[in-house]
Amino acid sequence: MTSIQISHTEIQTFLNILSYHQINLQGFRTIHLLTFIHKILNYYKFNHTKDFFNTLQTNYDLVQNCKELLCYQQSEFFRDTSLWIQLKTQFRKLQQQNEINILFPRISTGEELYSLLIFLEEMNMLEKTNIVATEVCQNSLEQAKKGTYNLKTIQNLNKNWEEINISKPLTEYFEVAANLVNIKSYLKQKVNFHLQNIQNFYFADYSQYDIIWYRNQLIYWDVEAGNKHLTELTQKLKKGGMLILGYIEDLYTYPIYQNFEIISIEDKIYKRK
Amino acid sequence: MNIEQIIVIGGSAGSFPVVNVFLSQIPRDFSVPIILCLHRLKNVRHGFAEALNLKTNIRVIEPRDKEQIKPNTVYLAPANYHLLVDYDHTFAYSIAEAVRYSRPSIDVLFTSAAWVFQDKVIGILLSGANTDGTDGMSAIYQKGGITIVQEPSTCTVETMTGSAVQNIPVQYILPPEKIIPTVISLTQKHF
Repeated sequence: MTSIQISHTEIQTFLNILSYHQINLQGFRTIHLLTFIHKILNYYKFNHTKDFFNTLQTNYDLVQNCKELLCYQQSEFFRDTSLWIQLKTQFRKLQQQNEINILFPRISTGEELYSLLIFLEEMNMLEKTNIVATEVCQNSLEQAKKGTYNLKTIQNLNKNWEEINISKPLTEYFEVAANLVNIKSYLKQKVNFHLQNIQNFYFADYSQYDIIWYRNQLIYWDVEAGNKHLTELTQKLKKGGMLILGYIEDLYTYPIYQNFEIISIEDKIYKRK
Repeated sequence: MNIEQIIVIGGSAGSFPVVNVFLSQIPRDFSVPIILCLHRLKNVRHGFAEALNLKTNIRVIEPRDKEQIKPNTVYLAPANYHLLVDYDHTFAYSIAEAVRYSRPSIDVLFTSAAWVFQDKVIGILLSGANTDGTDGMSAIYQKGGITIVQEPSTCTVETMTGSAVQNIPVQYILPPEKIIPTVISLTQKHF
């Protein structure tokens, strides 16, 4: 990190410049903005915030790169095994439905999205599932669409695989080529990928969803912005539909919680009333 | 809530026994919040806070996202997230990439604490097998906070503390048994 002092006024200046470029980060938590500004000053070797802001005002490429860097998140295959174990019970309740609609906003580079697809296949539910997957970062979205990952990302997956009790071998879902692994095409083809605006969700044509997968997104926003996001998502979630948050996120932080009941407090699975 | 001082402790391999002794010696009425960032297995969610709770007079918890920092509490960074503090004195989390192979990262926590609490931070770095923590201790020092490092020769693995001692001005280099009395004297007016 740089040792440059960044004031709250400068953070607001940064937000104003991005807003001018149609990137609305109002409600993004201050500490994350500050971390990001330091990161970008380091990355582009700016010695003063003033130089950075001046360049940002006129350099569209830098704005886009900022957006990509700011929004980049790390996704993992089968993060939080206890969640997946819990989901076995919950997803069984959906097995009788003819069609299942899932919304997965902010897929990042797609590892968790493909974990969900593999899991649905294991539950014999993939065929009747429609998945809308969106991402803010163009680069991340392209990587997710491609479904190609470093071999290392799945090398330690066997333990999770065993804990979740996935019956088929890894090779059923991944093709290994040198140091890379590719998600098999039949999985990728199930996904309806879309680019989304940072604060506006893309809902496709489905009127309502059975499951909204929104893990580890609220952590970046303040309560007001988080509640606004949750309110929009709730409107698209069926009554009785599942909202899935990250392990550390607590729906009770947000006023919208009144519209939900708990399925699993440990794994942050909630049901719309 | 006005926080007059805050303690952040980082450690990795070999730090658990030192933290355990530290916590067991903290007075029951010690009000300064303590935040622990200890490297841990990313898939093991339970057992760590519970183990630390066995020997301390103050409750040890993993804070929820946006939870307010309160006095007389020990907070433990959960597995597989970076833990930060924010300007409204609440906890924040991130799933950004690991820093020096670590998530939670000591650098991430310590740096955020230095930005937010400036010279009110006491940073303590313990035994560990990588150099996570050096940048965070540097940030604390630059903001006028206090830096304490476990004496490298007393560490099970001295890479972490050795790196800090070599690269930044450390105010106190102490064996484990001297850390708690020093911290108590540095925080005396606050409990």
